[in-house]
Amino acid sequence: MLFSDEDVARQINEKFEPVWVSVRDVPTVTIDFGKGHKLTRTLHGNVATYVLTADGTIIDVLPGLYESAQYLAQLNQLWWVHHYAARTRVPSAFLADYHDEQARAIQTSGKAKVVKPFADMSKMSIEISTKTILRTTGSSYPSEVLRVAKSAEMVDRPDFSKPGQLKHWRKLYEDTDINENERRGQIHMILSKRPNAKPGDVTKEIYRDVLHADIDDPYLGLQETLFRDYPFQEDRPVSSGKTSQKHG
Amino acid sequence: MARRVVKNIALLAILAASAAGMQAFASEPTDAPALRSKVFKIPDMSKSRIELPVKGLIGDLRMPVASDSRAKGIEISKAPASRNSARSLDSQKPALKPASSQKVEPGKVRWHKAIQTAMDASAQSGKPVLLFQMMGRLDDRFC
Repeated sequence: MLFSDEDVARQINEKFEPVWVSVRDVPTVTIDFGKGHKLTRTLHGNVATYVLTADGTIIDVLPGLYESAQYLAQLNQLWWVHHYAARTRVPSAFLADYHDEQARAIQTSGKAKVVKPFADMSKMSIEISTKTILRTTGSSYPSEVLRVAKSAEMVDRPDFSKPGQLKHWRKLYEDTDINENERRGQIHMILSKRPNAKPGDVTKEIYRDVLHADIDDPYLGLQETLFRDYPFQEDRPVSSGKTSQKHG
Repeated sequence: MARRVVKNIALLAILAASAAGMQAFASEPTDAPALRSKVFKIPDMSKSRIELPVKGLIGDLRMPVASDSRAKGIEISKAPASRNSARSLDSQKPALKPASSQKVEPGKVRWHKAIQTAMDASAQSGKPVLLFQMMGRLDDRFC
């Protein structure tokens, strides 16, 4: 639905070379109520948006679902990080500094710094560094996104058959706040240690540790919950007795 | 023999719980909506708040009758006999099979067909690549 938004699509088409990939099939549940009445829903369909250079190096990652205005604002900032990185002498060192700085900002103030646009077009000839492109914003709680989430115009159960209802979905705003102020910090920590990482280097770690969906595990880390009290041994998967191999 | 006994006990538990549930509906009709929501609470199907509904769903299904989900319908396929972590991400077989795969338009974004194509285009245009990673497929209804 996010990519059906005219403004989101237009800005992505203008500023990026977009591509989507599937990391695995999404789990679904079907509940058969009998007499042909079946309910099918997806579960745990986690997503991540990477911004990459032409050689596939990760500039940054937006974890999870965002509401459209914040998604575009963050993508715009990452466009600028990509722009600046290409103009530094050692892009990997610049990216390591950028992620380190943002991880610290989120840890200390609960909020990332904002990437300044046009920082390299100043009248003064300046060397691009995190000091020149990042600016601190006033720390406040709740965040602006969370304030919007609590506003009266938000609804818990939007009617998705009507256009524009996504903009009023409270949970999307709450998730955006968690993504920006919690998950994003984890992403910066991962990438500050691996500034040259390609998506294949960190995807499993991001899904397992940030999005809490271990894509190496056929049961997405839910095997114990699914089978702990289940009495019929013969129905259990072969590896159900083993401890999950995560968080190594 | 022991297995059969366990199965019989479980079956009795299902029947007892089902009967108790029906009695509850029958004896207190005015409370029926509240009871219904407790016995079969409609889970939060939205994707944390949005992204982490799974345990809640399982908890809800397991709560009233331990074996209901098994008997009536969470379709869980057999796990693969062996797992090979060296396989590519796309080739990994899921444990929970999608029930259908109706195709839909993946939004109004002009997506490249493959990541290498997007990277090649990026080298030409100077624009960064936007890689949208997901479970499922953007052009499937259930994604």
